[in-house]
Amino acid sequence: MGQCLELTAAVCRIGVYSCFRAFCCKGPPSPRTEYDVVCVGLTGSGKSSLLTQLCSESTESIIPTTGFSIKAVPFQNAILNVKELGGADNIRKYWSRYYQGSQGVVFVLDSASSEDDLETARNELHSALQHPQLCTMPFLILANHQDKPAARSLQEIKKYFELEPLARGQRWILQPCSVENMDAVKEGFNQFINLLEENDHEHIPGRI
Amino acid sequence: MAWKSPVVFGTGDRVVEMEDAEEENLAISVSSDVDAEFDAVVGHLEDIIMDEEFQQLQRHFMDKYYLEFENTEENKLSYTPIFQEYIDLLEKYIEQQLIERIPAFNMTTFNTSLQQHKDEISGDIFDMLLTFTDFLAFKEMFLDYRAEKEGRGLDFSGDLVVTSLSKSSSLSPASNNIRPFQ
Repeated sequence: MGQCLELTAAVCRIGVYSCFRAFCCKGPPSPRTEYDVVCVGLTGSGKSSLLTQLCSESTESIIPTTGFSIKAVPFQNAILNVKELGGADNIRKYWSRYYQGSQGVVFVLDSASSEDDLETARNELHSALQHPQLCTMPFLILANHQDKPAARSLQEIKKYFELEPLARGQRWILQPCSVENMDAVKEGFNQFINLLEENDHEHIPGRI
Repeated sequence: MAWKSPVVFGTGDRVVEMEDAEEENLAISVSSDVDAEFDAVVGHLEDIIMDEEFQQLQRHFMDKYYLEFENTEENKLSYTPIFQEYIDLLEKYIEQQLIERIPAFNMTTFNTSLQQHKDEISGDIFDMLLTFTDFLAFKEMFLDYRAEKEGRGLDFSGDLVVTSLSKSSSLSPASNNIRPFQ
């Protein structure tokens, strides 16, 4: 009889503990999904600054990237392993060597750049959209430097970059932003992560 | 928290032990073939890696390129072709050696098993295999090699501080032996 009571008490303890875990602590957090993305754009567009700021690090000592950097950028629902490539003239030809293994593309452009630079950016974006290794992936296009007076608006950028005709059939997000407004940046990334999740589920047959 | 010990019910004189013996045996018999295969590969892998031929191959490769690697967050574009050459040379060598020993060996299948069993194999072996798939692990390997070559070996003494809890202890913290992690 005494042993039955002990057993009952033990089971109750476990029951209470499990309920406690379920309602209060939720047990160990399930790990966030990780996605590999590549980040490109012309030099000076703000790739390093935005990514550094998203990692809550200081942007004081940032200099133009001459190689590539790898950053794990945390978001609420996912972690993006970003391979960021330098955008200077002599580096751009190597971008395609880093496309392998990517699940998405982040393209950063300077909304306030010169006409010539904007044209170069457009050419690079078009090449990326049409590249065989990237054409089925979601694109996050960040129209950065919106805080500058010369910055072109969202509509102007969309029109100039010919996104509607050219990127038809592809999934892309055009997000205006600046380092002064990180909320807009995060909003863009969160939508991008949704696209990455959809893409992931599509490629695994049978998954809901 | 797993309830691992057998549950014992006392009912007067007789004690009945309940075990999950049947469940456990079933689990073992289903996965034992795959496990045995994996263990065999790991055994051969250890032999191959410890062999002088592999060690020389690796060292020669690292000597050729270690000066290129700098301890900065940003990576030079030149690291990428070196990484590719490393994989082509060393991973292929290991794959070849494994196929000689196990004719049906498949690297892709093994890599998948590796992810599932990573807690079971020794840290050194796993770290080395990681350098073929993880660029940052590869870079770390080169940086460590360069530091060693340049006499800047890893110094743990600043990382570990052992303080005695007992006031009457005759050992001073500075004289404690600091052993490297096993």
